[in-house]
Amino acid sequence: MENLEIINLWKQYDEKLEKSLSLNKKILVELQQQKAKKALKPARNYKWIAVFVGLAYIALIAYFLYHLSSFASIFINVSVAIHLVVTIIAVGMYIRQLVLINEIDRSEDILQMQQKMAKLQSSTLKVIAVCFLQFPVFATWNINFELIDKRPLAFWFIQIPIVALLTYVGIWFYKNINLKNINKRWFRMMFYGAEWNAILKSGKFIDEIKEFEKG
Amino acid sequence: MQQVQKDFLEIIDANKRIIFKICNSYCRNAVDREDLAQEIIFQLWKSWDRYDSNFKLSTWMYRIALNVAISFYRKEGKSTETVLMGDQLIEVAEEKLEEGLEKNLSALQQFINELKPLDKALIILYLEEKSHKEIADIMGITTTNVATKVGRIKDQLKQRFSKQD
Repeated sequence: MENLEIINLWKQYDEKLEKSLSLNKKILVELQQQKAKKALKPARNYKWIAVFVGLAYIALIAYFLYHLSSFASIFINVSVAIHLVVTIIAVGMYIRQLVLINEIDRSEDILQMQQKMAKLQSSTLKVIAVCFLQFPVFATWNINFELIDKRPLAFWFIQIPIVALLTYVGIWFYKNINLKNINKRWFRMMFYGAEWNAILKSGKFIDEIKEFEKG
Repeated sequence: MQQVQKDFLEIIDANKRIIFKICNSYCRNAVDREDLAQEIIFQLWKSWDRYDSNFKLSTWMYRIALNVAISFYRKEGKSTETVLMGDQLIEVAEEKLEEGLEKNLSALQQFINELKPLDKALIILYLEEKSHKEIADIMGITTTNVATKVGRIKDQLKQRFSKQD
């Protein structure tokens, strides 16, 4: 079949559709008036729920920090403060993602818009990576001056190495949780399930877009 | 109904075949097609007040429709939040082409269905006889790139039909 024949076939398909298609004006008008909202399928608002839960959690931590600070040890205060700062950054990144999603302009050219969408989707990984930075606080909150004074060996040879290890692990995950490691076994084990599949696929789609752009 | 709403309805009515063809190329089943058609029209309406008449209406429309279709396809047909339940937005009456043409059309649709989402967009625009310049504007690639890619897909298509013959 030659090119012209293929084009003609498509034209005949178009003519067939001209005779057979009709639009339901009632639904069109409803879509315009956004009456749709009353009859919507359950909205996909998990992301907003996550933000609200995150904000409530931040408020709770801040409340405890404020009230505990006067009588808790400096180590607890600093640990909780680090946890609070990292959580604020993570929730902030998540809110920024939602704002950017709402600002997406679908009338942009296809490659540009799809690239933005895929990058936004995969940026959820960055939020997870940032959360790993608070890893060491799980081993710093229980340090106290009594431990340092009375059991220096336990402090220097057990507590500090654990803090150092968790710091190393936290920084390692922060640096390595990205789409470059998508095919690594540890990554696949860590990000397993339907929700993650969509994010991981967005990484592949970014590659597909780059390939398409090259020609 | 306001004039702007009427104008929009007219444009949608005049372009319903394009919307249907895009939905048909990106969705295999009728439920997904219906969801996608509603989502495309909803997004077109949402962007309607931002449409700049200095640009070609068809370019604007194809960009939105194809962007929505590709995103929908990537979500694997999960329905969107704008979908109304109940009646069908696009109703299709039974209409057949002659047997040979119907067979070729079905082979062509099958071929399009098997393409990657970006290649699907490209071949639809080619079949709609858009110029390389307009395809490049819609896709966001160079005209040279359009020519290369269209040529490659056409070769694959010819091979498919020659095997069928």
